[in-house]
Amino acid sequence: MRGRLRQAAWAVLAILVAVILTQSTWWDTNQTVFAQALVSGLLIGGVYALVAMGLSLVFGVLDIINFAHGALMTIAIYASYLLFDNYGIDPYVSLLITIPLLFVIGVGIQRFAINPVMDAPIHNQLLLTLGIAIVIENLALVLFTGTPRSIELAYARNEFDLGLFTLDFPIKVFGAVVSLPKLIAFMVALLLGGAIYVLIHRTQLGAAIRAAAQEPEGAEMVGIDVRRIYTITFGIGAACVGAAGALVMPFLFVSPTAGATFNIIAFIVVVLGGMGSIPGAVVGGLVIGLTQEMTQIFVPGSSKLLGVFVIFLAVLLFRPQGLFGKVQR
Amino acid sequence: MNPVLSVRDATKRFGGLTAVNGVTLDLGEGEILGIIGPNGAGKTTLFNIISGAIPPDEGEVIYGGDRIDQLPPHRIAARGLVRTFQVVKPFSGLTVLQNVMVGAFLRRSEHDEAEDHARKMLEFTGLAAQSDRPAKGLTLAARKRLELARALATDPTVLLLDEVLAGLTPTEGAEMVKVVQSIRDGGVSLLVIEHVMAAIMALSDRIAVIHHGELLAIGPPAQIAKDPGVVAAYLGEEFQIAPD
Amino acid sequence: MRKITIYLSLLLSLALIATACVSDSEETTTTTAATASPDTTQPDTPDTPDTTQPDTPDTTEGTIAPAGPVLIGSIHPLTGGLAGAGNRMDNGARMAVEEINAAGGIASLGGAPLELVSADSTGAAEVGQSEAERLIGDGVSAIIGTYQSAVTTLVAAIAERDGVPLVIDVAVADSILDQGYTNVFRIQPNATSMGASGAQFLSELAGDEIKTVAYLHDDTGFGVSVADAFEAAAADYGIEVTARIPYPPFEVTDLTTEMSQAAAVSPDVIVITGYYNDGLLAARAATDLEVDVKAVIGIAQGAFHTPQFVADFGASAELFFNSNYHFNASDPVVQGILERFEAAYGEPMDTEAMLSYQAIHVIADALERAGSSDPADVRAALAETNLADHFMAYPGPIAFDETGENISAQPVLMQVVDGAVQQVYPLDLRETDPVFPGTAWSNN
Repeated sequence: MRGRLRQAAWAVLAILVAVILTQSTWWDTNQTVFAQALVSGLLIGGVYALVAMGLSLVFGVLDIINFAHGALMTIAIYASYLLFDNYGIDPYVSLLITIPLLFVIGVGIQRFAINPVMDAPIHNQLLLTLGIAIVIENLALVLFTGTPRSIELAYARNEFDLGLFTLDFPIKVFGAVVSLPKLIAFMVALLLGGAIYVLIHRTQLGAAIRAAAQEPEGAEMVGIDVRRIYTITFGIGAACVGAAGALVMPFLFVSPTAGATFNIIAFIVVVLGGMGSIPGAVVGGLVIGLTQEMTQIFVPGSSKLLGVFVIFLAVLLFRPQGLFGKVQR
Repeated sequence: MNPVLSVRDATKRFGGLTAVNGVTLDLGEGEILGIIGPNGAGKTTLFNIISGAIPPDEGEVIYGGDRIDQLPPHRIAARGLVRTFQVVKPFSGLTVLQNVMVGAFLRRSEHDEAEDHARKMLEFTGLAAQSDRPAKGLTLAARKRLELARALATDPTVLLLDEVLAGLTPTEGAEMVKVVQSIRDGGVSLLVIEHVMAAIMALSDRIAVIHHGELLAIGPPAQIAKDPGVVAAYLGEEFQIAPD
Repeated sequence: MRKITIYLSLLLSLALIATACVSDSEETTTTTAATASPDTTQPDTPDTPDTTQPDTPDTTEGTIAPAGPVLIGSIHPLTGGLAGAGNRMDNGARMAVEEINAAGGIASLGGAPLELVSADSTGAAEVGQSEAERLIGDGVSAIIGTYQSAVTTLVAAIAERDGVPLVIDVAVADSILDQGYTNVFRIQPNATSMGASGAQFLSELAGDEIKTVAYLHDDTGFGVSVADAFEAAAADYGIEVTARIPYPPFEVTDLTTEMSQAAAVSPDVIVITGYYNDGLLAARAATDLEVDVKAVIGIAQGAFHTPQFVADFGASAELFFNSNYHFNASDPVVQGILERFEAAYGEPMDTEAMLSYQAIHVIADALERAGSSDPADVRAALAETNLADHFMAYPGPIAFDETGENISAQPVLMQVVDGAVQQVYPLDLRETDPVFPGTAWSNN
């Protein structure tokens, strides 16, 4: 009964806040800005979710923090860019190449670099993945120079006639603009997230992954090759940023540190959402995306990431297992 | 009778200690072979050798006509030789049903097929009512049955049970014995390590006694109970075959 | 789980501290890899010679003995997020050194050649500082650098302490030369000059048409100081900054919300200060939102005057203004330099690289007049610099006031017109007429 009362109180409070907000003069003049922050936050949040998903999976199954996650995304960004620049391949078509490419790279890294140190102390593994990140970043620097490149999709500002309605990009949603590349990135990211969820929860491979994550010896005993599962899982994690890299390339820029921003955000999302939880990565990604933009408009003059760090600390203090995580021993 | 599993001169040393010393035994098709011996005698090490967790220093393990002593555990399990653990190892983040499905997925790749088979195994082990409960919330007895159900879901030919009765009340133990017998009736051959003397004597077709890593005696329970060497080393004068 | 939490907290505390330092008006890069590694990988470093430059004793006055090479240190971000610009600047300096040597070196030192000693600041102030100390220990006669105000601040302090002159090619913060240093000289316009000239250009360009400005700027020392100077100067011209929207330049992946905030105050123009990557994001945001303003104007903006921006942003780059330092594009000597750079390094030369090129020439000029490679003598000669024959787009000669600022330095207003960056103001540097009011989306 008390629980219901509290829920009711929260609901009343939320409604009050909404009413005050919408009736205030602030709202009148800043509706558009608020809508834009909401929209921008959600759109980028979808990409954060996809990136975090890969990290969370690797974390949940192999128990290692992959500091090279962002660097792998940089590889995907470059791959997509080079395919576009040299062969005119549309970035969304390049997904068909970057996803398997990064899967293979991930498998390679896991088998030849990480597997040998799986039983080493955790800080060895952290340093190893950090080292891999530095190598990748500097390799990109040497091969491509640090000059950032960018592309503009020829059809990004076109009109699309879909029969029932036409979409003239960038489209307006409550006064906020949604650009085509960001919308596609958002939708594809969530789609892939759903696909991964189905993989983990409805397939033979997914059952093996979850089993290997929770109880490797028990998994061996029912015929699961746990080492192979580790390798495949790391590959899937890399494939996630293989997709994310191609998706962000059209609206970001191509440079050796392009994936680095997503690295830190991905960690925070994983902590917020709960390590090893796919729904957690999605919810966490959207929340962090929104927080970023909301901080910008409600706490002006501060870093966008301030709100994000505050959330991170709050989670560590009050609910270290994250929103969807289970309490660890 | 053609043995379904053969251990020949298996030997394992850990530093200066010889945990298993030249053990040779056969498991017949449809047989329940009980393994008894004092704590530290080498029984679990023998299981580890057979299931592939550790390779023997000398000797062989032959199953299904092939040598399996150098194979990794998951390959041996995939061939139909499955073990349970003394300290059970459930997938704590999954439900009871999901746990068993992991086993079912070994030979079935379709989700629904695996689920059907898992449910059958849960029925068989009396866990159907708890299908959707998280595995870590179960009582010890239920967790032991879960471990069993999961192993069964892989359609094993040979099952190694490591102290499956430990920690159970007499009633729970008696039920478990019935389950084990049904498993054998279903065509599975069993190697069973056990300390609960009454149960193992009643359950087994033959009994092997391991002492200081060596096979002390092997034969039908009645014969073992009377073997003076066994009695002296292990059973003690007061033991009686017939349970009260 | 707990261990992982500890490591994560450590990592993020590091990042937190890094961003906290940012708000202390220091510029920094975001890449954890780059800032965490103390490695200074220098791809182009020539081997530091074991021959330190010979001391020129007083007895050589009048006798020109053939001397060893004159070492000049060059500190720029050669790795990390700003490596693109950093490497171009280092290459610009290198090309200047090679050309001066090909023309006979420093005549007053018996034709002694120059030798460039490149160093990698990695974008981090402490690394730049230790590199400066290393270069001074190796016997450089002067140093150029560093592209970032935060790094330059520390390098300047070292230069001053050790009496080795620093010629700043790119670093805008006023505070660097507010210290009473005598060893530090800057050839680019400082923040106040950028902001004030920017305000002046706006008022002269548009008269009464620009009354309100929404100002988007990076939240590092760079953006803040330029915006402050602009706001103060603009008031004198009757221009009001009705909104200031700072953002973290190395962490943003999108500036649509910020641009939306700028548009919400319905300004006459939107002004932007920042680096290349965020400039690109700002341009995209403005284009997506089709902000209803008379113009989008960069002030010391790192992107809008570069050929690369035009190449990558295409038709949407049209009509973006930028009030920034620029080489004198209409000078045929400068055009020759641009061609040679592109031929040698495979990419177009930007103004930053030209400034490094220019800095080398300023030092060479000082060496000629000093007749000595001793840092103290070079410093004295630098203070007397009066170099009319330079490559930058301002009329006066390069000459330094008592704080080390170049009295002639001022930005030039440029606009992307017909797919090319062109100088539009002041009138004597004009290459084409400005298009105002106008934005790429309103002029469709």
